[in-house]
Amino acid sequence: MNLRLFVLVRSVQILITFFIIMTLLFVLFRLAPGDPVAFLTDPQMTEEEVALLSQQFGLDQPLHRQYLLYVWNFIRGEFGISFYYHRPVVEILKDRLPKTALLFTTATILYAFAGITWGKILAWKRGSLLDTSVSLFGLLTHTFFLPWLALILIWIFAYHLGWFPLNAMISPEIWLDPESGWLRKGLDILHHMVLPLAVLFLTHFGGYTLVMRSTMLETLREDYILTARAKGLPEKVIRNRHAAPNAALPVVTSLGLSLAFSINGGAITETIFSWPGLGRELVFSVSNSDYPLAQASFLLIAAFVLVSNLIVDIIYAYLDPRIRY
Amino acid sequence: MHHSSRGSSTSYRARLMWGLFGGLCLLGILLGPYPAQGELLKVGLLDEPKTLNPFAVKDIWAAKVLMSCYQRLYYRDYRSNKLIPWLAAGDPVWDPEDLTVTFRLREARWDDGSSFTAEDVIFTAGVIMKFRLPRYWNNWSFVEKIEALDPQTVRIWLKKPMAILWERTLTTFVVEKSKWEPLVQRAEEALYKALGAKEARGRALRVALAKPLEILTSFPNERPESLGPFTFQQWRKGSFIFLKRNENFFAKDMTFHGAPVGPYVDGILFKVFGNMDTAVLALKKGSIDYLWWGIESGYLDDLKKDPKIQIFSTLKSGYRYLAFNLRRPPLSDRVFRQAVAYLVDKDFLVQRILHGQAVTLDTVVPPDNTFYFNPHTPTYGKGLAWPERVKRARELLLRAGYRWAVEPLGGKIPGQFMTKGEGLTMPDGRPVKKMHLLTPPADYDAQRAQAGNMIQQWLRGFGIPIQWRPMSFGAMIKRVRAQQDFDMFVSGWGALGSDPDYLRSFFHSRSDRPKGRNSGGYHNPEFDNLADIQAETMDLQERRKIVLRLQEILMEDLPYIPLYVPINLEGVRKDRFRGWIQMTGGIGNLWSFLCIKPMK
Repeated sequence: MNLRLFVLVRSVQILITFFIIMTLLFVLFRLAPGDPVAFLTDPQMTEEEVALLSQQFGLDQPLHRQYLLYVWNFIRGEFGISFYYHRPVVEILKDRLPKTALLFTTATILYAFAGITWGKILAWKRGSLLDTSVSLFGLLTHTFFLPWLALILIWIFAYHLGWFPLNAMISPEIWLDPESGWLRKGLDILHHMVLPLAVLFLTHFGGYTLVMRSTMLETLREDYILTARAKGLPEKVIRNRHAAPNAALPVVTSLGLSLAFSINGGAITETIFSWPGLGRELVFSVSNSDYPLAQASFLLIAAFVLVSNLIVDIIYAYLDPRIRY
Repeated sequence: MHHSSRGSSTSYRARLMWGLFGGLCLLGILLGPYPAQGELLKVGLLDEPKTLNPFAVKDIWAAKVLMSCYQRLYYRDYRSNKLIPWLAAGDPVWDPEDLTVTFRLREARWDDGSSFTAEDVIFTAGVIMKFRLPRYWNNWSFVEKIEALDPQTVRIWLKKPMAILWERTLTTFVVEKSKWEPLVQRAEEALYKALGAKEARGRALRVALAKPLEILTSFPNERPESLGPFTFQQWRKGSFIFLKRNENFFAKDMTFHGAPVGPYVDGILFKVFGNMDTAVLALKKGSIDYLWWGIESGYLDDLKKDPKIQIFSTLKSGYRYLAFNLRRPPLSDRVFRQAVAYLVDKDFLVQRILHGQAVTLDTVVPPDNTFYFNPHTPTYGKGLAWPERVKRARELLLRAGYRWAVEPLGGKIPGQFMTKGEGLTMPDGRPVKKMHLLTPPADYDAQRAQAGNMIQQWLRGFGIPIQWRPMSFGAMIKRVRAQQDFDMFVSGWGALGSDPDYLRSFFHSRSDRPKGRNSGGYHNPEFDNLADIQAETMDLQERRKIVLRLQEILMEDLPYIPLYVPINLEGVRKDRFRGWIQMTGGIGNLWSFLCIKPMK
């Protein structure tokens, strides 16, 4: 099968999968307990007003009608109006997505890069003190309960030492100051990113390091490495050019998926650091039965994951010339 | 040789990492200290507003921000708890013959410099009435028309007298006509397109209103206009909202209770926190001066130890209650409900489960509503020891014809039974079947869940076969409201407001329908009649008498057993501002923002 045909077949598969996910999402939200209108009303509203709200959000329609409308709207690129924000869901996602992507994509790139580099070094120095200590450290931080770690870092570095801000993405004091230039504002965002990045880095880099270390160890036992040594190639070249690229293949798969999932943000990380991203919105929309917002958020994640899977498949062919479709 | 090369690359990386870490720490030091912003009141919120459109607002966070911008005709005085003229220049003049109410307006200016006039009031009312705006329409549905007698005088004609006019209609916010007119015109066009010149009612009208309402409520209004003490300056989504002092505020330097009002702060900076932990740390650190949310008891001891923090405790405007499904025997029997009331030890719940952070309640109007609260309703077992409570409940049921195989006998310790009741039968001889007590789960409201557990123990020991079943709040509401498939549940009402007309909505037999508020199916013609009369009684004292009587009826019939009113605990930095004002619900109110002064 040539690449073009492969991409075509996979695209059709992705479309079918996406449609199934879409339907499942619709059904799951309606099966979940809770009436969205119940969340929107207060004791002073009359029943007529409640009926008007149901009508406004199309919740008084039979389920099959609601479903057909949902699919039809999706085909037209409309995701509906959020029950709470009263704004088109697309606008809300557009506002939240870049903030989540900034934090989580940066974090993913950082810990994946560090993981691959350290995994490579540790496998090369197998059995050394460095190998033992870094592996143990990675394993330890990987098992940390994320909310606990986040709160401890906030408590030490933000509350006691005052080196970093306690919450959010920007400091009002800097952004309200008319003398603040873009550099100061940019640095401010970076300043706010340090603690959440540290938490994400610490809890994730161990996983990448250990996977890379083990695949690297397997690769180092391959015949072609022995051949490379026999040819008299420098150790650095064998490690970096011959072993590492092959050992990194499973890590790349994992990285592709991590990048895709990074757009959903970490609801917990975003909540603890008051980061105004998609993860927090997702939790809010699900817990308040804001169907349009919750559905659109999940569909966005599903689309990213499916497309990244395809991209990872294609990248594989470039990384490993032996792979044919 | 390669060893040395690897060693140098590792140490290079280590140096790079340490350099990066050092750089970031330096960044922190360079960026702080923050520039001074004058005497800003920094307020912590646990979420940000979803919209700042006053016609669409549903969330409390938006209400907190908009309170300082959109003003009302009448406002509640913090001492007398009565409505006083705010945008209105004097008390409303009621004409019972013509069914009209007339009031004059104060001289005031919007933050864009234009004058506030009767046109703004009439426009706002017109939008609510024309589009039947959910949440506000009920307060205006009985209004025939509203007109300006002159630019500063407004008259409202009513179709029929309605008492909520005072507390609800005349406390509606006012928007600036010139700003909203183009949007409202678009909504009107959409309504005309849907309806034409036809009259529509019921579902047809609701269908026609969907699009106009969408136009009206989807406007994000990211820069609300202001007549209030602060003007809206900036909203950075997810981070902060900044309001600046309005130098042209109409009530500035007006005197209330012998003191001129401010505001004395330069502005309000609302900071958004995603969770209570960091918000509490921010309060301790001084990043915020006031956390505008009830502090959970777990943080209390730590905050009380901090000499820079002051804790205010205020009763909430709402209550928790135990409700019955009156359609099912034996819950349909008033005597049975009264027996249950004897067994529910509210003092125990407040002291042991809520650690004293609540007060017991024996009526369905919370005590902060001093005018309508009835402190003399019938009570059941109040102040009695546990064995006496059990005895009274047992005797009550025996007199009504209920029988046990083994009669219950209360022990000395509250909740303990010397002999547990068994084999309870109803007066017709049928056994009392197993029932369920629904509560929200502990992670939603631990106190309500624990109260449910305690009530289960008390009733079981007495011989009432009951099973406590915590379930998600949404699922519980669906079971209770939509399906009416329940025996008993523990729930609560919050933000009830000061007009007691909600009693009609909760207990009138008209509200007994699927999704109606009278989910327990309470029917009492005397109640229905009096509830309808109070709704149309414009004389406050007359109405008060009826509302007090309604509470007596309800506490005799017991469709609800009111349990307790929770206390709201709020924390402020006492080294920053003084003069906070406690009102219903807490210190987060307009009066506080008008009266607090910097410590320096």
